[in-house]
Amino acid sequence: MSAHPTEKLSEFIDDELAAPERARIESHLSSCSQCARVVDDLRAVVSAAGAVEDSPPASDLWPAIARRLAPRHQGPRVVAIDSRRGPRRLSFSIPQLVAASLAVALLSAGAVWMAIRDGGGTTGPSTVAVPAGSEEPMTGVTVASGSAPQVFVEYESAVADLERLLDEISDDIDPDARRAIDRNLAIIDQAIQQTREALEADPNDDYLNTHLASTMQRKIDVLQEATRLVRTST
Amino acid sequence: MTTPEGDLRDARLAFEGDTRAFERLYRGHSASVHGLARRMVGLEEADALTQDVFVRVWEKIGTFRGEAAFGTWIHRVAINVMLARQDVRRRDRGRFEDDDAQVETAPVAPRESESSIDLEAALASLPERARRVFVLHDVEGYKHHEIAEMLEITVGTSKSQLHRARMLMREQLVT
Amino acid sequence: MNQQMKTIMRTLSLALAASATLGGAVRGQTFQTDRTVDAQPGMRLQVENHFGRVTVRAWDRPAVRVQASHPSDVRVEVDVSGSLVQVEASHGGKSVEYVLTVPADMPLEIDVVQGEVDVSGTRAGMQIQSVNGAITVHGGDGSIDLGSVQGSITLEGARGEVHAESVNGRIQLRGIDSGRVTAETVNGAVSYEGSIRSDGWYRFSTHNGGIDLTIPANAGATFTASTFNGTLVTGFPVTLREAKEGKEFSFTLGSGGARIELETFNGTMSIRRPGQP
Repeated sequence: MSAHPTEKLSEFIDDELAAPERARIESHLSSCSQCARVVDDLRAVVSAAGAVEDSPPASDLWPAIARRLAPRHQGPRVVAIDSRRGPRRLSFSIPQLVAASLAVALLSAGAVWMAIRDGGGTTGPSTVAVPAGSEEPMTGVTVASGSAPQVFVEYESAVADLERLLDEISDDIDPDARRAIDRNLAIIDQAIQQTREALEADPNDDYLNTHLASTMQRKIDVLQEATRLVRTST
Repeated sequence: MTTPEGDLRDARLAFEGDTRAFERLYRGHSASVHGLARRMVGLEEADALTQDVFVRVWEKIGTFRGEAAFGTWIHRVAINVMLARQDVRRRDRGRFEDDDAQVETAPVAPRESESSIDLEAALASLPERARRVFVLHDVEGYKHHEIAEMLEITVGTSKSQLHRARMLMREQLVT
Repeated sequence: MNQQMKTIMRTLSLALAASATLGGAVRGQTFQTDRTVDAQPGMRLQVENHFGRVTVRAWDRPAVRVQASHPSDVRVEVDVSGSLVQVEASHGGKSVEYVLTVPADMPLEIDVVQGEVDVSGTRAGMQIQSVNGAITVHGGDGSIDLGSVQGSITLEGARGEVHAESVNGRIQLRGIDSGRVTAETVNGAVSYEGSIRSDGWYRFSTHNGGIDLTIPANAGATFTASTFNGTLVTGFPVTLREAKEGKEFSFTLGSGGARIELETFNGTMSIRRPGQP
């Protein structure tokens, strides 16, 4: 055994030694400047480690994180359920409400969507949904009207982004699973199409509007979830 | 910047689906998580790892009950994510190979105070196992028995790796 | 239903028939990996499998047994770190069939891309996601979150919060004791048989498919039911309030405590009491 108890010096400074061994080392240190120096150095290392400073990442990682947050599954994710009971149901357009919340939900993973739900409470979401300062009631905006609301453009672009992402990792996906994903996206598209057609005849129907929004959201969910599953399992 | 009450409130809101509350948690804790990631895996992978950690935290936030500070809890989640990820990487080059011979040269953060730069540069030169134990013990403040559990090693191994890491750090930092 | 849908439904029933056959094949299977690790209370199991069936059974030992059949160049990793037991194979693209035996109270997180998941006998929460494959669960207690893109979901005898979501597949929930249930699919029927708690919230939704609810005779609940092309059928007399003729209904049973929401674009919503046809 070495005369210098170097191997024990970390435990010594961490005070993890039994009393007899501790006493033996203390006595050694009083007569060995070499070991005493090591102890000082180790204490300096520990102290430097404890004083290490953190700084935020060089680039803001939040947008990338927000895109990856799965929506919560706590009851209905679509808002307008309560609005059926509200007396002011014509004071705003549910298509636009749903559409607007969808657009933001796509971009920031549900923040506004949830905010509308939370903020709406029992009085319905209209108070939150109508932009501040907007005097004009937003009635009669229909999903299928000539100028498609901006939200659907954004929706399509978000879907396209996710589909591109899925394509990028397509080589890693089992072919049967990839076919299943495509088939199911087609099923959702068909449901979206049917709902849009129904809305043309009845643009203000609450059920159809919420159903459209939740089906569109479903497509986003499927794309996100499929991408996540493929990534984690390869 | 963050308070325990505020964090707990935001964690509950985030659990309900409020991404703005979650963003506040990100803003409050991203620096420390990123720092931990940088020290554990190096700057190159730290961004990706930090993202993974916060995505995981979003999934797991329902299990945060406020017994510990949110910062402590999130670091624990972060460590689990990092260890899982490192395990995955290590598989590619053989799980049980001894990494003692390898000296990894992860890039260092350029923006820190000088002593931090020195420390992180020295850290990056440590062998992986010694570095993990050193970061967990001397930077994160975990006890040997906790580290042993996390890393699936014995307490004795944790102690000897720590000592080894400190001695190597001493060579680098103390002249 | 158009031709494409019919083809899909047929494919689905074939897949289901195949899965019923496979279910019996677990016994007698040979395993290239058979490992058992200790599992303390409070630990959870995380399984990621790209391709292949995952079967989970429960036992009363504080341990996780991982049996897997796979090609010889695949290595199955079982990692225990912190409170997590992780099971994963080294070659993501190759088929790995797992049979996992876990403590009954161990929460489960299972992700599968291509393959079925079959869980039985556990009394814990679980998150199970599959892209292409049915999910079948007997038991479960806590937060139960089941999601499949292509594939049916069957949950029996569970307690806790239940969330089930599919795109192309039916959702069957039987013998459920829960105050919070959501079941949503796009193409497929949804059925629920279980408790209705007075403070509960239940939501069932599909685009193409019926919704079938069997609820206790003494259930107190306020129903809202919405459809575009479908109808509402109840096995007992109710006084309907029609918000929109033939399309949006509401009615109250008993004390009206629970909140039950039904939605189908194309399909029949049917509500009955136990024993009613």
